[in-house]
Amino acid sequence: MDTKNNLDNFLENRSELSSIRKKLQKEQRQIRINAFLKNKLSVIGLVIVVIMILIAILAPMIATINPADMDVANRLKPPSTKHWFGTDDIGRDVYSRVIYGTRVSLFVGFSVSLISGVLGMIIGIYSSYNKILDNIFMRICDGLKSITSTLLAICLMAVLGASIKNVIISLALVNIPNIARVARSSAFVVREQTYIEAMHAIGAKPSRILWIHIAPNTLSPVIVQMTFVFASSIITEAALSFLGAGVPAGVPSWGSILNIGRSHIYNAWWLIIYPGLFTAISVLGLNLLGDGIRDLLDPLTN
Amino acid sequence: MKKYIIKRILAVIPILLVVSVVIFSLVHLTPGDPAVAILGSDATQEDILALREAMGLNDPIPVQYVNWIVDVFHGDLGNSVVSNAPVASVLKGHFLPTINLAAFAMIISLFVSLPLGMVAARKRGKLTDQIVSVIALCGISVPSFLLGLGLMMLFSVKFRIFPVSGYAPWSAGAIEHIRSLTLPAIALGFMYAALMMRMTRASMLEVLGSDYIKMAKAKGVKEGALIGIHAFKNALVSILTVIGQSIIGALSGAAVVETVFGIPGLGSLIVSSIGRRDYEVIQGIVLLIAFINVFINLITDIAYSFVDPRIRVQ
Repeated sequence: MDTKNNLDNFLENRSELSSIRKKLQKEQRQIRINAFLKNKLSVIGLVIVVIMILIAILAPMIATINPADMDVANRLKPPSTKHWFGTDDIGRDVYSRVIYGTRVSLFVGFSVSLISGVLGMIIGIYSSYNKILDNIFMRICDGLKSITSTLLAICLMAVLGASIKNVIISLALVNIPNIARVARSSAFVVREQTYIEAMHAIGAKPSRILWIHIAPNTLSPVIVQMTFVFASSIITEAALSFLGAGVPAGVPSWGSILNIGRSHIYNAWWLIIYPGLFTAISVLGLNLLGDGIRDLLDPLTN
Repeated sequence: MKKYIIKRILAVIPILLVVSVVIFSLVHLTPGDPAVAILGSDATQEDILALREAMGLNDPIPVQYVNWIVDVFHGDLGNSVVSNAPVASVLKGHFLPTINLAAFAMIISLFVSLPLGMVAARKRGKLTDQIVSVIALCGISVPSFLLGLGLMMLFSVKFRIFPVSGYAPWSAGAIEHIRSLTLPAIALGFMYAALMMRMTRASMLEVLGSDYIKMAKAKGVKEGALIGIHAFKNALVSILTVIGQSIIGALSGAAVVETVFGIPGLGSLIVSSIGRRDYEVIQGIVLLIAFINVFINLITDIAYSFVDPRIRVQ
């Protein structure tokens, strides 16, 4: 009889405990959301990023004209009711091309930050665990850093050839060392904590410690770094396309519209202003969002 | 001190090794036969084989790497595939504009960012601080080539104060030289000015909160000396890091800005070499800039130890 009572008590307590815990988690989440909303700049950043994502997804509906359509009779025409942002040197609608360019930029930025985030994290966490690997990886990172990401991306594009896939591959390769460093240094901090020592003591396998206990704790700095990689990839993609080494010729991209604008700088301001504004505002939005997430996850910076 | 410097210099060797391997494999992973690229697709099989033999392309890859490195140490970077001129002399012709542009950009951004960063830290939370923060935020959000295009539209096309493009060397007169580099230098330097501003502000804030500054204030050190000498010297270590990184960034970021403004430097050379598939020249430029960067990092490391003697001991 006693045992049954105890069991009932235990079960009751446990369900009570878990409901309290759930409530606590909910409250903590609410506190975090409130803190984020209180920071006006990061909310602005979030709004900009959401609008950009919507533009990218809804591009076929928002664009007025097929971005590849050439209206040869109306070349280099200033903004009008038909062509909101004017036309380029072969009569394509700049508004539609800028809208579709959002798709290319965000797709490149998102893929690069995801790929380099995952691979960088794997490399960073492994190298925090193994001294030999660490030395090798860090020397490679130092070397790549000396070549600098801009030059390395330009070279990789020269070797691989212009295509969206290759832009993503080169930018991901260029950004992996960044993420790896961040993951590594926060893994070093986590590794010194007592509970990791305890895991070692009870004989947990290294892979279990690394992936179930250390990896989740390095996630937040990595996510912050990923938003900055997102922003810098948009810049670098635009720069590469501007140089003619990014996306292939026909693909609408902010950088390639700007490239056409450079050759017509005397008479076609709309070829620079509009793609330029889109580039700057989306990068600004991502930077603001990144700063906001960082302040949120790392209260020490305040 | 000596021991620290020697240790730093030795640490450069593995980095240089990695740099050279990466650059070498970049070029050798290129699809297509360089011999065919030089001779053209209608060359006979025998000619191609002879040229491959002469260029050493039939040797095993490690042997080719060692031969290349030995040549590099002798100052021989190979010949341009397109013009057949030695790469070293091609680089020499394009070196000065890039260095001048990067140096000019650095001077502008240092003179703007350090005072602004210090003022922002002093007036924390006030209007001045907020204005500086907004400027810094714009600086890291506007890519250099976009800023360049904007400046060009405003000051060259609309107001006609500066030339749209082109480069005037020193020999054409100092004023012309500076006029031709002003807009590109601002375009290139703005982002680094923003980074330095942020770092100066952050590290000054950290230092200004410390006890010895309160002590100095209490004993009546004047405001100017407090910020300029007592606080700045301790904030300098982290600022130095950003300065080093900025010089490196400006050297390679020049590639895009030079193309915007038509400056015949290493950057526009690398972009035009990509179009011509002149891999020998690309390899030479990247190697040169990477070596300069390694050297700058070394200097920064050694400069740390002068600014902050504690670093030498660690």
